[in-house]
Amino acid sequence: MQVIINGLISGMVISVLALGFNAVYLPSRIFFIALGGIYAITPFVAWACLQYKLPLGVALLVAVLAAMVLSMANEFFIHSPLEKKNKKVSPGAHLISSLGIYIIVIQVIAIVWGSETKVLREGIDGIFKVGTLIITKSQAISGIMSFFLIAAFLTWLKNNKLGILFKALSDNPTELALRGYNIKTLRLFAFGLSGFLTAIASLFTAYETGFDPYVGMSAFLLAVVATIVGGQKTFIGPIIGGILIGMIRSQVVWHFSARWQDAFTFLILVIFLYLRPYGIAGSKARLESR
Amino acid sequence: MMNKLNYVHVKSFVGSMGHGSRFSKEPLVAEGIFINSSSYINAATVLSTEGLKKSFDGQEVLKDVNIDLQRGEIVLLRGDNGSGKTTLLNTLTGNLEPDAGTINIYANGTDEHFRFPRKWYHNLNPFDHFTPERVSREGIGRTWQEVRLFPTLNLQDNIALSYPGQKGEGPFCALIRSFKEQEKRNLNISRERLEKLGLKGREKSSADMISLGQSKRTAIGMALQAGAKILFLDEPLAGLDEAGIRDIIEQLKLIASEKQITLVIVEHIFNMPAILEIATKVWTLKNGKITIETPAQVKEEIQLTNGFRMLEWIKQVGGCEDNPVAVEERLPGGAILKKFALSGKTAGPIVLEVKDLVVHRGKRLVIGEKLPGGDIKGVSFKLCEGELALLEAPNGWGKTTLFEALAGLIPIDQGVIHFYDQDIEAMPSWERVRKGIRFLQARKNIFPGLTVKEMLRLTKDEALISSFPEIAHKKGSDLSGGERQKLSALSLLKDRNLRLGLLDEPFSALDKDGIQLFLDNIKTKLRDAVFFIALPYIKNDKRRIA
Amino acid sequence: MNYILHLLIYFNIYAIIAISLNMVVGYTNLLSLAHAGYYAIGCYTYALVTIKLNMGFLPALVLAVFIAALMSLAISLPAWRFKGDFFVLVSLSVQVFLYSLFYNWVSSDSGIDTIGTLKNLTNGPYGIPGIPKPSILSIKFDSIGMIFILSSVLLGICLVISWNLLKSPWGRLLKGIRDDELLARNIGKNVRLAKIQVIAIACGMASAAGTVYASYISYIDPSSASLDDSILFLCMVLVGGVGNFRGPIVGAAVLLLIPEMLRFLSIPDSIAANVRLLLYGLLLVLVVRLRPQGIAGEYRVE
Repeated sequence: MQVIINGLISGMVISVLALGFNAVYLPSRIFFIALGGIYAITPFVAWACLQYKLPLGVALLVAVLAAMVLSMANEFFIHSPLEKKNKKVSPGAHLISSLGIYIIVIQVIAIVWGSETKVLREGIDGIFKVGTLIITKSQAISGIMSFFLIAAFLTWLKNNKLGILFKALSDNPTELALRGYNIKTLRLFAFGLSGFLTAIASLFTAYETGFDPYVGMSAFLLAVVATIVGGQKTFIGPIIGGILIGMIRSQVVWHFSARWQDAFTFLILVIFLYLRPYGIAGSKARLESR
Repeated sequence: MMNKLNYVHVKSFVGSMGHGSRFSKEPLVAEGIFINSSSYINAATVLSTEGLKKSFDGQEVLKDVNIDLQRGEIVLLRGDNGSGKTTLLNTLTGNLEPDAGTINIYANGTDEHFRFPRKWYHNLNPFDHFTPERVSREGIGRTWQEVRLFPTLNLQDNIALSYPGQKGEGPFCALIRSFKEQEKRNLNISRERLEKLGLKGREKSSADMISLGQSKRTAIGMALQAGAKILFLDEPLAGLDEAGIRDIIEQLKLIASEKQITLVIVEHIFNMPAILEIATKVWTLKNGKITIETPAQVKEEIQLTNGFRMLEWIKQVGGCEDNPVAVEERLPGGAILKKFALSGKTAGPIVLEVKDLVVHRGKRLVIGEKLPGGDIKGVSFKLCEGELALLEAPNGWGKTTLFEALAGLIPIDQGVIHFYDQDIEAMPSWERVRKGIRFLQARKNIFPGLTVKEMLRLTKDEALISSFPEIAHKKGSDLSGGERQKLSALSLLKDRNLRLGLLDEPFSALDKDGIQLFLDNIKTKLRDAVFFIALPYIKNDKRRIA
Repeated sequence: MNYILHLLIYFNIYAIIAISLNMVVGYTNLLSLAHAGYYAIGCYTYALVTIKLNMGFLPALVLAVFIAALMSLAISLPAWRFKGDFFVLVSLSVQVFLYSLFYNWVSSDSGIDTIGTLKNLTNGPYGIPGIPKPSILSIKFDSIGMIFILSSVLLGICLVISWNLLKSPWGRLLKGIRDDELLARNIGKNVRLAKIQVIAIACGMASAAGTVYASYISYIDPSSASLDDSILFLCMVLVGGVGNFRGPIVGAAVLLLIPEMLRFLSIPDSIAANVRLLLYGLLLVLVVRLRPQGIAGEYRVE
């Protein structure tokens, strides 16, 4: 049972991150690898604020804002101009540029702050006991906040005008432009939203287990796997995928060892890509000429 | 490989290539083909299908397709937009797996049967999947509507590459250079073939430097070099002028008669008359089924229906008694721009002026034409208030590209777009919308994940919901083609701000009621807006190749 | 002098890798992030068979190439199905998997003499020390000059192999597949087989480069299989240019010279590696933006 709860909570955090990935991927089909960089730099910004004796809340806020700005800068300086230059979107170019940005961000972190692991939290985590279950304070915070964040996101998509616009952007950006909406600004917003979600997921994990410059890539890959397994054409997909992956990973840690988590994750990815590439929540798309 | 049908296939002596006939051990009768010892029915069948079915997203495109193709036939495959012509073509050439049915190929001297759905053990053998390369081995080849060649290879290499069974194409032989002999022969054959296609002297030309007609001929040459005995051609005449069309028709006649190659040609109504001159049979695809007709029947049908339909609704829309007057302008590439001055109005101020417009898609020149000197001449035209403009062009001309450029979805390479008193080339699409330019796309014009109510809320058309009470809560992806078209068309037509409506083939998905509703709305709007409509149809014009 | 030879040996190794990756990226249009993994397979295979089985250089080389080519199926089979971004993702997964293989195949209670057994095949993060210098037919290549000659000869062989292959009908087939895979399939070409072949050859070559490295440095650890290295290799090829022969060579040279130039800027050692990687990342972004075909290439990766 403990394993299940652990998995559920870590799964929800992965869901939040996966939503962040899909927030960019759905509307623009860009493989936002730089997300890994944003994930990595957020806790460092928070840590730096703490070094300046700023209160924790402010530090976290600054970190989240920094992530959003960085994310939007990607779109503004890199992806948008690339799309204007090549008449057709060349996904390879976007991907490679994003990879380049990721590398730059990680190295900057290592140069400025060094490569050793740091922590955001002073001292040992608090513990709650629920029957025989042990839940740490950070787990509780991550779990509850992720849950509300996901619920709020889904509600926003459904009811809020901006949320509907965002859904429309993900569905059919061309048609949205043809109805008179400025999709350039909307895309910027999508990147900002992605930065926001990524930062939050990153801070949860950083608070619980510490962080170093290299956590970004594995986090990014987890988000992508979760999105693909759950179904990349919707926003429900990443949520389902995230929780599923979280739970499977915690089972692996329990039955084997933490070292094999990544191997298992990718095994699941490969199985899905072969048998059900449209994910759990997806449906068979029109098969054009292969 | 697995002969699941119980019938005897007997090969005729004449014209049978490759190995001798293959007899199945099972007895005679099945599926309505009765053979007794003295009749050779279907002796020259090269391809047949039974009960082909294919659905997309729950919509059945092919319902029950049964065909029987004989060697040497030239078949025209026709059908409305969305009828499934391309789907059928893709299926028969191995690019798409049908949901059910059987495909039998006898073109290459062996019997191959493909039964769908494929059993799991069929897919275990990696050499026996239903793929284009597998089907190509059986003698089936194709060309595409948008010509496909290998752009970084020269023409000679394009043809040489198509030759099957090359030793040099395995890395081991390539390394020890044991392919020299074969390669020399291959290159000679390629040069000969290019000569026969009328391309002598252009062997070393890069494939992206030749004209459209030349590239179409090369593509045909490649399919033949690859060993095609049945050639499927997807709109081979698209985008060609009269001389180009004559060339291709000659080529096709030659191929069919000299080499006994069987042809199946999909062609759009615009160029159909040319094909009907050489066709031996017509397959009409309607409601997912094929009916067989003769070329003569089809010719008559075309004469009757087309010109009639269009003039009718122009009259209706324009509110005229007599046939409305049209000013015709020819645009490069074979398109015609018809401007109707509607009754009671003299031509008002210029609404849209396009000067020297050139648009590329990637490397391909779509709007504009290349002059002999190497310069590119752009497209120019004017639309004034009180006019209704029709753009008639074959598929592949670039109607959609033109509209996308006017709407601001794609950048232009050269030219000026003047809307009322502003130059809008640099304006992004959403700003053009606010100025009153609306573009109705031919496809993908709704949001699949949103409900109808949400979509209308988006376009601030909540009042419109009264027109669609039954489907208000349906999601975009659940709407039928007709419902989608109606929704998007009305959204556009009810826009109070509308000054210029760009409508891309708006009628293709609408039913009779839908069309009526559409026309009524255009009529009311004509007072303040100019409409520019793209259509694939044309009245049969005696000046064209008849 | 020795220092220059040292640089040149590295150049040879990188050039071999660049040429091999160029075959994959420039001729089949697949961006692979798993190449360092195959390079490391070469390193580890050489290390293990020379230490444990006392093999000479040539048989070890052949074995390393063979094993890498076999394991290349891990990325060539997915290449049938996945294009573009998804293929990158799959190659990334293979990369991570290979790395974790090298890193984790160790058991906590093993000592140095258990390296190469099933319990402890790779000795994990501790690496494998004491790899012997190459010996061919009892000639020992134990001076830096000799190793330079050996690596140059190997580079020459790889160049000749690539040249012959790419100027043959097989090379023409690859170009066709790169241009328009659907068209190639419709004229009857077995595209899947071609992809398997090219990836196997490329991985084999990378593995060969690995054997030279292992024999020169005498010590290897999982960092040779790291993602950073895969990215570095990809950088070499993209920055230098794909689709011809000059490109990869230029790429290898450029990426080798950057750290050397950094020395003159007296950057503290602790961050030298980071600055190097930072520059590679920057180069990637700039190249895609300003010169997509690379410095000396002739094909735009799209």
